[in-house]
Amino acid sequence: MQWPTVEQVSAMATLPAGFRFEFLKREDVPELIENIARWHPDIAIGGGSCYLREKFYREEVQFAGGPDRNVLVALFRRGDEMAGMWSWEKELDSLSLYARLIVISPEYRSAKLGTAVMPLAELVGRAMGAEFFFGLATLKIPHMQHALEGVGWQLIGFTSGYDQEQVSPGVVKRVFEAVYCKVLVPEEELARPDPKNLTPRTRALFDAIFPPAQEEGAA
Amino acid sequence: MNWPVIQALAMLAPLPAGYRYGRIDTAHVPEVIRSLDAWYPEIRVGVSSCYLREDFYRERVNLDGDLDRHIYAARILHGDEMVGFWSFEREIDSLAIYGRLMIVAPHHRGATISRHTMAGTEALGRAMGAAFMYTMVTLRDPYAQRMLESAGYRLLGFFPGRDREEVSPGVVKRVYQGVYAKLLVPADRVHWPEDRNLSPRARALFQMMFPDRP
Repeated sequence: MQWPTVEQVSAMATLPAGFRFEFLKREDVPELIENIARWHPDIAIGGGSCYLREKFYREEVQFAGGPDRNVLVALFRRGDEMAGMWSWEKELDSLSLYARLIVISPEYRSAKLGTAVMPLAELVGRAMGAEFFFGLATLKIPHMQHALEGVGWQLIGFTSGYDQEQVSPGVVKRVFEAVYCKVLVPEEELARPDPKNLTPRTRALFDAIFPPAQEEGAA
Repeated sequence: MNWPVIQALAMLAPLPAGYRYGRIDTAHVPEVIRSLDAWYPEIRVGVSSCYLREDFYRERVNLDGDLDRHIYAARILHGDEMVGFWSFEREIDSLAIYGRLMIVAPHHRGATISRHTMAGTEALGRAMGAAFMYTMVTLRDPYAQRMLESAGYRLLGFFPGRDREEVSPGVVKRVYQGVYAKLLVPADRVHWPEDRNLSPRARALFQMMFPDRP
């Protein structure tokens, strides 16, 4: 699963007028860290806080001309200005892509950049040979949930306190997030579990999330 | 979140009589790989296939007593024979521990090794300062689901196809996994979402899954 080039991504994307894509360059890192901290200060505590550390970019993020790495960071630019960022991680052994983070500058949130690129994820993923996407959506606002549901991602559960966030000034708590995914393989390549192998509790939730197909003639 | 030394692991998650934990040194890696491949060949094609590659241990797993890396693994021994393997990953920024892999040799599967280790995970997590522990289990049989339910883990949802398995000889398919977790913090350190911030679909599922929300 090789990351696409920025030209390939740009050819697939229709960004709002005036915006363009770029992949992160090493020299962009300090400015990006400053911007993320300003655009989304809640990230300072919790799983996304690695995006505020230079070491993370040095050790884990893909740069043009550098060795192939599992984390990709794309920038949205308007002219020379950074307007947002979008980051993915590839998991080679499972042919999966994890949508790690998308942060847009408050100034450009009305441009709907996030919504505009949502369908792009599927195009890029398919082009790379990915078979499964997943990502977490905040439950602090409903926008990302709506955006993911709008492009056909399926809600598959919640993390009940996996991450921590500053929920009000000085107050850090464990938070819930919604887990969404999209399966890119045909249904026959996905092995549905045999109900007899599920405990009653598992079966009840499984049937609620993945209702069994109604048999022909059934009421 | 510091990993325990092997002696501390034995105190936190005691094994049945006759079994003990063994550290993994570089010299053990080939035997570990051969054993996992023989005991559970289904992992050859999926997320856990990394455990069958030497470079994974060399680059990511604590070996030879080093405890600085994020992935921890221990052998389970019966006498001097390796009969099981247990591996976790720590996620420091979120204070979480991910139970990555637990495999017991087929001829020791009745010895309740998994039940003992699962019962000890909470003590292990608390000793390390973790706030959240989670794992993913196969839905090919109900044993792991039952064990996690009885150890107080909560089912949080499913991954439909994140992992792949050889479901029959030569046939590889994407499979569903159950996601289980245990929160180790008091209730007043949990922030529950407000209904108005959930989409209608998210609200319906949330209400079904968390009828006990305050």
